Amino acid sequence: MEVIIGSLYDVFSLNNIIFMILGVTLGIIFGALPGLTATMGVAVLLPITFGMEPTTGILFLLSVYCGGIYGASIPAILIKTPGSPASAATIVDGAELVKKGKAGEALRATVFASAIAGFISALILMFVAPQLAKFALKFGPTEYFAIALFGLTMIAKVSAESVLKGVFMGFLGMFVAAVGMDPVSGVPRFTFGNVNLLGGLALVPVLVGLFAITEIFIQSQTAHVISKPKQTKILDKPESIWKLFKYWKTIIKSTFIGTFIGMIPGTGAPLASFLSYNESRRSSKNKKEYGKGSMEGIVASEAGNNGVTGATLVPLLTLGIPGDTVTAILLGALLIQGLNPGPQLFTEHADVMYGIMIGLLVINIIMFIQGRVASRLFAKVTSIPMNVLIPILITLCFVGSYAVNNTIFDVKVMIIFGLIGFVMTKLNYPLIPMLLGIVLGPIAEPNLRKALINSNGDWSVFLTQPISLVFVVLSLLTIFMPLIKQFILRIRGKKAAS
Amino acid sequence: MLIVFSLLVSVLLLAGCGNESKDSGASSEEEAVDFSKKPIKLIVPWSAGGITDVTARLLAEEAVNHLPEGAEVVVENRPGGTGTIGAAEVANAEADGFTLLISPLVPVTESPSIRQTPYEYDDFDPVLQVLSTPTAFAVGTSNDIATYEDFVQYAKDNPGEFKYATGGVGTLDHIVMEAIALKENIDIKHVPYEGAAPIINDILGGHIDGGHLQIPGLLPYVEEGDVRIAWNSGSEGFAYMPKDTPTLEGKLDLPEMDAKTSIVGPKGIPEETLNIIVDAFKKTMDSEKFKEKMENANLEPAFAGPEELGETIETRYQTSKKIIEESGIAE
Repeated sequence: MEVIIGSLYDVFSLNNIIFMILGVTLGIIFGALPGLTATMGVAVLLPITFGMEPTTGILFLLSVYCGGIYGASIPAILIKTPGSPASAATIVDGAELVKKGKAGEALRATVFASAIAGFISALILMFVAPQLAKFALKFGPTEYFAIALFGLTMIAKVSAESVLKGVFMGFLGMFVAAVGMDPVSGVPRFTFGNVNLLGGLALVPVLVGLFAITEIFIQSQTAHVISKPKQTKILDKPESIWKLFKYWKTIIKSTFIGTFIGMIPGTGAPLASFLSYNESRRSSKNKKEYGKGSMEGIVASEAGNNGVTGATLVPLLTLGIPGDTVTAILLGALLIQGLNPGPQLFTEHADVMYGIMIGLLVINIIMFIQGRVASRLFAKVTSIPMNVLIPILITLCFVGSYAVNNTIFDVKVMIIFGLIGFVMTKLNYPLIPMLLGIVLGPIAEPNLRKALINSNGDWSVFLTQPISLVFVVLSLLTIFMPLIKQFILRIRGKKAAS
Repeated sequence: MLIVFSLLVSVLLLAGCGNESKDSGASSEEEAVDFSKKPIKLIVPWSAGGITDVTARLLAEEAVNHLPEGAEVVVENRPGGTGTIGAAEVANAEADGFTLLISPLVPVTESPSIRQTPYEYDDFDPVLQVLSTPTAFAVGTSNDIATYEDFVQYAKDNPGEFKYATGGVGTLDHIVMEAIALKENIDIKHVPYEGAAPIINDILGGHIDGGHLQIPGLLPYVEEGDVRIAWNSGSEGFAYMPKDTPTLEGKLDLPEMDAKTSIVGPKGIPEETLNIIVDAFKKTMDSEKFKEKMENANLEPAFAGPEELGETIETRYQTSKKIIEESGIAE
């Protein structure tokens, strides 16, 4: 208890508060610019923390991370371009809401959802981290494959009109993810002797191409028509925060999904946001609204991805195992600060650990306040004429894609995927299933193969391991539920007739 | 008027001459090295946050104080292809000392024998060795294997049953395990992972029987009694190493198999430039600040100059090549 009080003093030092505020701001900027991601922000700002106190340094990086995950929702809503993969589930409904003139409302709802989800996730980290970490260890290759499989079944739900087209795009996405070195044998696949392809296609340029560049192409078609900026309801008056509490069920559920996904190493925010979106749609009374501007949908997606933020620290702080790129960089920060990550972190550096956890709560409060202000500013983006906005966006896309690995190669990748996205959109092939394939393929494939090596080629492991069995059954239910429902209805119909 | 004009001309001429002589004087010096003309790029062929990345950033931060005035060092991450992408970039860069690779030697000494790389192991100039880290074989404590002999016996009794993880095909860890499999004639299965963290996770969770990896990351789990180190495949004398850890000495016909994090550059760096760089980085490694930070991270700097590093690269290449060919793990 003394340690906690000591950490409280520590967290609320002026220095820490200033760096948290600064971190959140930088994070929101990194997140909001297409092509720059939360991960990149944390990586770029890592060296700055070398000279800071451990608590200050880690809290600064965490502020960037949380701000970044939230910030990505801003362009996802306003310009139909996710700031990072974690907000991809937000774009469809976000764009529709903007069309309805609800940009401001949508932005405020996501700030609210993100901050609440981040706050709860931090509380969970504080109170049940050790127990969660033990549970997370039960996830091995077999379980990862099952969960990725479950994620892939969502293709059926996000395919809009044609499931067949969606499945095709899903496969295309997994094919894109297969480029590079074979994860098991190390043999280069589809690299055509190009060294740049050995590591596979980087996610950010592909994503920026598919979504941002595609959207820019589509908007460019009509950009020469000078339209009067839609001034109407964009700057709608902020309604009371209390009104947003009507989404509490969705937010809580999505937070728990995010926390669950977050604590399992190697999965991450994009999966969490898709699963949350899907679950909220499944349980919603207004299913038809989803995809056509559902406030509940974007709230679910954004609460889901911020729910990851606290939980992703569970394996890092309790076991010293980073679950994703951001936590891997945080691990580096801990190393530099002389805090050797591992099971002893809590016993040896309890003050810093509690500082981090309390700080994470504060970060989410700061994020909420900043987000409220930012959403008022950002909502004005929709009133910028397209012929001004497009050149700015293109520049940002180029810079962002280049910045991933400092290579022009990634810029070319971005342009090519922009063309693919444009053509596919014209042919009415949905892009989100492709993204699911790209994100989940690299989780599904290596884990499937590792699991099969471990089982000596026996496929039944996926059914004999309990956690894996649950996800396989869930996947099958997702796929066959519509058929089963129809079947039940028909039987009932027959009974009623007889 | 004329006088004024001629004065002006002569002044201008003088000024011109002055500039010229200054220029020529400077350029003869600059031909050696002008470290202020652009930053030195230290390429890390792995993601940010790992041991190599942390080491590179600490080096870069401190090296500026020991390099000639105006020099800058920037760290760039170029991950992918088990380090091959970053290594290829350095191999193809201009050999002026401004593009250097910092990495464990795997992409240089093992990758060319494992897969097609756009470079050969001798396309690099050794610069200096920064770290020497022992690698170890670790198993979960639910397992009965405690020694090398236990492991060999278990593998002989259960052919094809034992699965071990490493950080990828053709890594130093993989080579050591293959060498053991060849020597003892046992059938064990290799499962490549993306790095140390997921391996430790799966050992703790009981999803994999064992793993071969660098020691510093393992130590916290050994202390907690969650992981057991069966043997150390590298050298002794690592300060944090549990004292009674056996090595493979006498059991295996291999040279020292420590992971050597080193800096190399493209072939043909002018000797003078090379000397300045080696000297500056040596001073950096000797600085208290760097030592302290490395110690905090459970890492021990181990300097070796270009010649010694060159020998290490040659031995490692030849040894690994032989094992790779005999075990048939190449593509």
